[in-house]
Amino acid sequence: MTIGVALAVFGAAIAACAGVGSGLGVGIAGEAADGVMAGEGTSFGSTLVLQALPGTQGIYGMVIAIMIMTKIGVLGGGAIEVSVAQGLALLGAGLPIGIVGIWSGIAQGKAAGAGIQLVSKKDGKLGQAIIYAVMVETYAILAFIISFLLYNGITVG
Amino acid sequence: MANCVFATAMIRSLEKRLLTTEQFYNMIDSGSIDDICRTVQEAGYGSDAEPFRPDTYMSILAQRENNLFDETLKLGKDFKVLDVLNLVNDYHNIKVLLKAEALGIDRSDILLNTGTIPAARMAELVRDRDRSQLTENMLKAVLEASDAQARTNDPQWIDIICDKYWFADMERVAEESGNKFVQGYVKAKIDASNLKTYVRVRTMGEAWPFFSDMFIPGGTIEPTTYQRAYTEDLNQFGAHFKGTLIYEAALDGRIDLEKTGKFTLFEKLCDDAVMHYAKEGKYVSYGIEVVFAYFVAKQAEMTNIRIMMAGKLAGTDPEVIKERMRETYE
Repeated sequence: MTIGVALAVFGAAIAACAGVGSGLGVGIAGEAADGVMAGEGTSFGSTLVLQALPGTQGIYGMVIAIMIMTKIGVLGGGAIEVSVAQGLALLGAGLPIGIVGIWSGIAQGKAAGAGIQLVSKKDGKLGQAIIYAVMVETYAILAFIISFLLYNGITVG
Repeated sequence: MANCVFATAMIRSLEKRLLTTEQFYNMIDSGSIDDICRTVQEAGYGSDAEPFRPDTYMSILAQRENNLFDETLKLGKDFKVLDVLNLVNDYHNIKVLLKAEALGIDRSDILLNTGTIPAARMAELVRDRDRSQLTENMLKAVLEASDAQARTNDPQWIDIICDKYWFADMERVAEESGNKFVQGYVKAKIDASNLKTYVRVRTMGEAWPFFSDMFIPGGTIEPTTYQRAYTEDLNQFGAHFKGTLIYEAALDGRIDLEKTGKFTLFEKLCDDAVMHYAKEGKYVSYGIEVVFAYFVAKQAEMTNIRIMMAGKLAGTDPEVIKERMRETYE
């Protein structure tokens, strides 16, 4: 395996780290959902929707990671020739969604958890609570687009 | 933050069951005591087996107060900081025990089991002057108050000395928690208490040294402010507290006191000032502040139910009852 391939694999690994943010975010929202369910009658459905929201960062990261791995042939079984510069470029492509995914996942988890509290306290606020939490998603999507465009602009082999 | 997410969320869902000012006013305006009892029961006081009724409300409230802090167990975490709200019961027990000791009577019937130390254990500790479980402040309170009682034979000093150490203990727990919100709450309580004492002492015509002895340190208002206010006429002192949490109480409460000669509105405004502060807990997303503020709100709610029930059962004018109601957490 060349240094170029190793760097590209590293890039894919960083992209997949967006799942850390999702894991923590879903955990925070889940804890909040448990809390309101332990209190006074809140519907399971409304809390579940909000809890699931921070999960998307992990999906974005996974998509970029798979794309990088496919591009360098790691998934197909035979890694192709990747120069150090190309490997570094693919590493760079993995960074936006990796870093933004971690932070936005946690932030979205907090927003979703607060939304769960809102829903538990006031009826009919599920829509607003979802919108507030979804606002955080914008920045994960922007990072995903940048990672995708960077990835798309890199030719290997 | 992470440790408080569950607790915060659970408290938020419980907050919606807190009685609002509007609900209280509707109950007060309602002619039927049965309707009032039904609404209060729906808010979590009493059960089908033991309904909330005029003849049971005192015991239900006492029981609810006893169980209030058990709710923290459901939160899955030991919130030591809630001792700030619980210490009042320990000091109540100390006062009762010392006064009973001075009079040579047994008043264990009015001891409260809601303190940080169970009532029966507290009775042993106070009797034996046992240092093992009492906090440093509790021990000082016991020794100094019993000494003052022996010298003056005036039980009032037991209250004064115990209150001083109660606030000191609250301050200690708040400091140990490292939580600025809780520390601010204790400061607000001290400020409100000092202002109440100040007005009462001045109404009694006592001089500065008398108030100075009773002043509780640790609030946001320095004794020098009170000393300066002492130079003014009692009707003019309010301006000295401008910019403080208790300014409204000092100003409006004083006007009402002058008009009516009663401390009712003045003391209510002092308590409301503390509730104003506690309401900041509503704007915290996750944290001990939410839990702490809920327990403050719950205590205020029980005070309001007592005021309302006592007023309604005595046939007091609804407007008078409303005036006495403390601010709710909404």
